[in-house]
Amino acid sequence: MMRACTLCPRRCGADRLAGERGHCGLAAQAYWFREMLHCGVETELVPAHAIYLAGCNMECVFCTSSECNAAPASARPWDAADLSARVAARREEGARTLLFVGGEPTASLPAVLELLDLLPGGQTVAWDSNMYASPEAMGLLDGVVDVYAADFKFGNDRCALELSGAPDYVATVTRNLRAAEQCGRLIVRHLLLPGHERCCLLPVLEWMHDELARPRLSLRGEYMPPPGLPPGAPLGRYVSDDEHRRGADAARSLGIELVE
Amino acid sequence: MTKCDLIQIRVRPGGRIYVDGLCEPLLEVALALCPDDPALKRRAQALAASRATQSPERTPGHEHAETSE
Repeated sequence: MMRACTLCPRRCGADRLAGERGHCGLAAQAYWFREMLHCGVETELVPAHAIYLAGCNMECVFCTSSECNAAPASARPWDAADLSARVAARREEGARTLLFVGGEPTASLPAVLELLDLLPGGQTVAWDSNMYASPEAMGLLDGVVDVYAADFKFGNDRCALELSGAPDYVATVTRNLRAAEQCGRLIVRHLLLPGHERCCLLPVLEWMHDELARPRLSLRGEYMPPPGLPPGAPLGRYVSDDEHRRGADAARSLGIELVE
Repeated sequence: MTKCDLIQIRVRPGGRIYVDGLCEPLLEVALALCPDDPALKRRAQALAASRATQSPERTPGHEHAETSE
């Protein structure tokens, strides 16, 4: 798959093993930029040993780790043996979940699988993903991932293209969310964006209600306006507490379980 | 080190604070500042519960190696 990369729906075809970099900015070498015992994720995952992988296949204008995603080689090279020792140490500290975060971990899936091969097993593996992945990548995750902390960022393709440069977003992500629900525990994450209640939040909630057997939502209010936006720009403000409350109410009214 | 290595603390207008990378020491700080926050309390309980299942010879809390470079 790395000879002509099809890990994500862009199917850029880069020969990553020969050193070509894909749309995600990665060749064969994976990189990570942080690992920690994380207490801020959904409670059922806490404490999570979070490993942050550099490189991403989306280009979200509001990304908070864009530095490492635009230039993944500025992070630390992935060394499976070294990381396996870190995983063991974090388990000793009490980690109950091994959480792969990005960037987008799917872009470095072979490296993650290499690491998991070195581990003794028995840990809960969680996948914090934008879900903008190919069916082939989802197939590789089947049987490996126990919990998906899965983004559903946009309720329509126009917003996805405009804000994340991701074509065919809704069909891709909804297909993958259905697959994830079949092979693991699924938490759908939605980051509230200012002014995107009707176009993004509500369609996401409606889809979850209609299509998921057990819809569980982590509604995120931590959107931070990217620096440099002109005054009055639509994304140039925070999401208000009222907007957050309305979103939670809308989810509850559809019978969607809120996960905190 | 890059900006991405750092835990991000975002203070919004109105005073709400988000921590991107809530490690145990920051959880302790947050709990000291907001001892009644239910989300923080749940996380502290989850951490304590996980620690409670660790091997008995382990001293809870503070022996972890600093693994950041």
